[in-house]
Amino acid sequence: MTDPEAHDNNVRERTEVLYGTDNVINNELHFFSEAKTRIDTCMDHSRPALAIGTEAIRKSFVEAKRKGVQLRYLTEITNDNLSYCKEIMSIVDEVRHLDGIKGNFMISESEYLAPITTRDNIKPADTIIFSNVKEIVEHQQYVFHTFWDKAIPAEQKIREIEEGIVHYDTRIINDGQQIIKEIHRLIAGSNVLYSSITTGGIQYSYNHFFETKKKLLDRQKKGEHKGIKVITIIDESNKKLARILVDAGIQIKHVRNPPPISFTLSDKEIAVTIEKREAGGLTQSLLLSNEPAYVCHFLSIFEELWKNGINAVDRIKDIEAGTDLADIEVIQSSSRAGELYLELVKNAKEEILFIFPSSSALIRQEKLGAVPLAIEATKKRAAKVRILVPYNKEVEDRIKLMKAELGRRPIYNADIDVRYTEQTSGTMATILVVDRKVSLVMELRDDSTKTFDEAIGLSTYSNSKAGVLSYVAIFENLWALTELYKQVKEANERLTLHDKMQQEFINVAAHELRTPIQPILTMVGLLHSKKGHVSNQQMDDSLEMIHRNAQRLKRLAEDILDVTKIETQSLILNKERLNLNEIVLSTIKDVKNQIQDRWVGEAQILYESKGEDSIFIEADRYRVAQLVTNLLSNALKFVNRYDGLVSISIEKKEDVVAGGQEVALVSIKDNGTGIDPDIFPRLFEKFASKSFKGTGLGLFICRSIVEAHDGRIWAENNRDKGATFHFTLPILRR
Amino acid sequence: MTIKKNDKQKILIVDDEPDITTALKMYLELQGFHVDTFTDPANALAHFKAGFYQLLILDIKMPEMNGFELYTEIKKKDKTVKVFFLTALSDMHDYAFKKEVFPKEGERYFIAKPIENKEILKRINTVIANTN
Repeated sequence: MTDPEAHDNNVRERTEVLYGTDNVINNELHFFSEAKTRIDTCMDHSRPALAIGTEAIRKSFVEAKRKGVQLRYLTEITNDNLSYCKEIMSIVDEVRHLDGIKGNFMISESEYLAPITTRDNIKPADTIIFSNVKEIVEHQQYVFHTFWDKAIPAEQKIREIEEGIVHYDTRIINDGQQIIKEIHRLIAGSNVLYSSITTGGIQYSYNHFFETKKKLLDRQKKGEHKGIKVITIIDESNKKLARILVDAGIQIKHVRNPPPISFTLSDKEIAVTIEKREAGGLTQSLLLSNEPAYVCHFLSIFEELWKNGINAVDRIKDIEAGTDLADIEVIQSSSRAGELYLELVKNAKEEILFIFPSSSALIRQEKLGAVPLAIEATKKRAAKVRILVPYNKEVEDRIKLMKAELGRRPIYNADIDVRYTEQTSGTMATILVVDRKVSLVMELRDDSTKTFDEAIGLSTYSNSKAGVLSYVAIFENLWALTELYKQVKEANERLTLHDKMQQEFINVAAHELRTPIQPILTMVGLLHSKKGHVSNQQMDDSLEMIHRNAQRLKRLAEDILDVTKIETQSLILNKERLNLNEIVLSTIKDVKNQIQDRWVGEAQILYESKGEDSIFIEADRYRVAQLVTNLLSNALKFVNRYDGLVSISIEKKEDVVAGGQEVALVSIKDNGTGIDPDIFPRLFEKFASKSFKGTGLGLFICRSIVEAHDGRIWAENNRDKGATFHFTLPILRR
Repeated sequence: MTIKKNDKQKILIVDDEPDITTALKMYLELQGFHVDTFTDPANALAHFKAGFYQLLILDIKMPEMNGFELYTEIKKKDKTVKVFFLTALSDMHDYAFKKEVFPKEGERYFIAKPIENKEILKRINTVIANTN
């Protein structure tokens, strides 16, 4: 036991540590009685209970008060010690509250006493430090004052506790350990937890806070917690960790660009990590606040990010499938889109596809420089450029110019292929696909403007394989469609032409058929009713006329039927091995028999065989006969009846035009009037030359027969008189 | 009964098919008409006697000058002579009703060939009477 203090200044200065609970209490009591002007007490939250509960101590306070000592008491007021604090308040002059106050001591004007509490705070201290050293006392005074000034009146704290008023507070913590502690506290006290974490943060979070979070997840399972949501960048480096967290029950979403500052918030509080790179390394500060405005603010930031995030499970799948690098970006600014456009075209290596929604679009983008750049690409890197654009004259002219430009300096196999679409191709955006890897779709906002920037609205960039290939598919479909349109148009034109020709044929054929019928009708009717009034000569002439015209009808009917078969490709050839010379000779005989006719007279038909007597072909006997007959009849029509001469020759030849094939060449020469040069071009067509009593179809049928046998037929005027018709037929190979 | 030549109705037939002109001539003469025929329109025009004929029967499709053209020329010489046009029906569609040659009811002027004797006689009688 120490000597009690004397009242004079010559008291010995000492600092002691005293042991034993009794010692502690005695010293405390002594301290109280020795104090003359003031006692400042600083205690942690467990002490008020002791102060009131230990009767001796309580009495000391009362006594000191009575003596006029100024009593100030500083502690942490909590729910648990509230009643004790209230009692203390009734005894001492002023009580104040400071959050988390630790360290118990009392200071009087001259003495310092600090009971040392064990870990187990409830029991009274069994060790105590005493000092009356001036410096120590002053120092501790200073400490007390610092705390005291920072503290809030007990009444306020009590009110907060009793009325549940939360004290709003924003503070910054720089100490690493403290930061971790605060975050733990935030997590533990949360009912819901949201975090946005920058790159690398996931590992840190896992290292320090995973265990605490697991507790939350347990509470969540019981329905006592609303869960944990995390936003971060998930990539190759942290996907395993992400998986672990997801499996534990934490919801994670991937976002391409999280905010550069990590933050965590609960229902009550936010914690924002600020990292600074200073000389030597990275320093961290933590901004903590429970101001509702801040919490709301970060909550709305978080929710916005969460909305656009990609589920971690999907994201990990994408990473593993290699499709994670897909990027789809909507570009609002048309000038930015324009830059990107040029960039993409400039860097194209193999292929550039354009779909323009209107011809104006192409012209605008030519001004922008996109199309010329594409042309550069074809020249320098042999890229293939394909363009789909609606047709108009101006565009066609521009394209011609561009191609001419290309042609002027051909370096590589420069390739720019343009196809014109119908105006209503439907796309209202310019679609660009480069190398089948990236696409840029630029919406057309106003086609009437002159510049790209004014015309273009939103643009979408994508390097997602599926997306880009969809546009490629659209392009290829439209490309093929233009070809189809072209073919359909051409077929239609051919059809129209064909229809016209058919109609023409029908008209002429009808006329040709009706004409010989008239005399037959008239004469038969006449003979029928006027038999008695007709002379013998008239009768003969009439019957002759009827006969003649009937024959004409017969020939015409046959010819028209043949032509119809030829036209509808129903001409059937019954090919067999024939001796051409034999056929020709027998045909000449037949013709000679037929032409016992007034219009031939002394005309002669001569046969000439140059070379072999028997040339064998594979042909239709009837048709070859028809062919020769027609040509002979034709020749006979044009010769003079008195000195007319038709000669027909056959020889073997190598046909140069048919690639040197060996053929039989038949030539029919006459000394008649020759072929009218006007008719010459249409000589072998239907009704080209209607000679008197001819059908006008003979030569057309000849040509069809020859061509059906893979031969050729042609005619020429002779140098002297008349004309010669030639045809070839392939020789039968052995 | 002697038929004076002057009383006969006179018909001019022009068709490039000789058999048609010959046949029609033979029949119509037996019906009591006076018939002149030509196979060449230019020739027909050259020999045309104004006021002589009551009726023209003209083929439409002829080389060098078609029936309409011939009629237009004849009309300049003789305004009263009546006309029929012989046509294979397609001709009508080809030429349509040429407004400058015909007023409204053009069909009346067309005879479609081939035509039966009775029929052509009936048609001729609508415009001129035979004296048989």
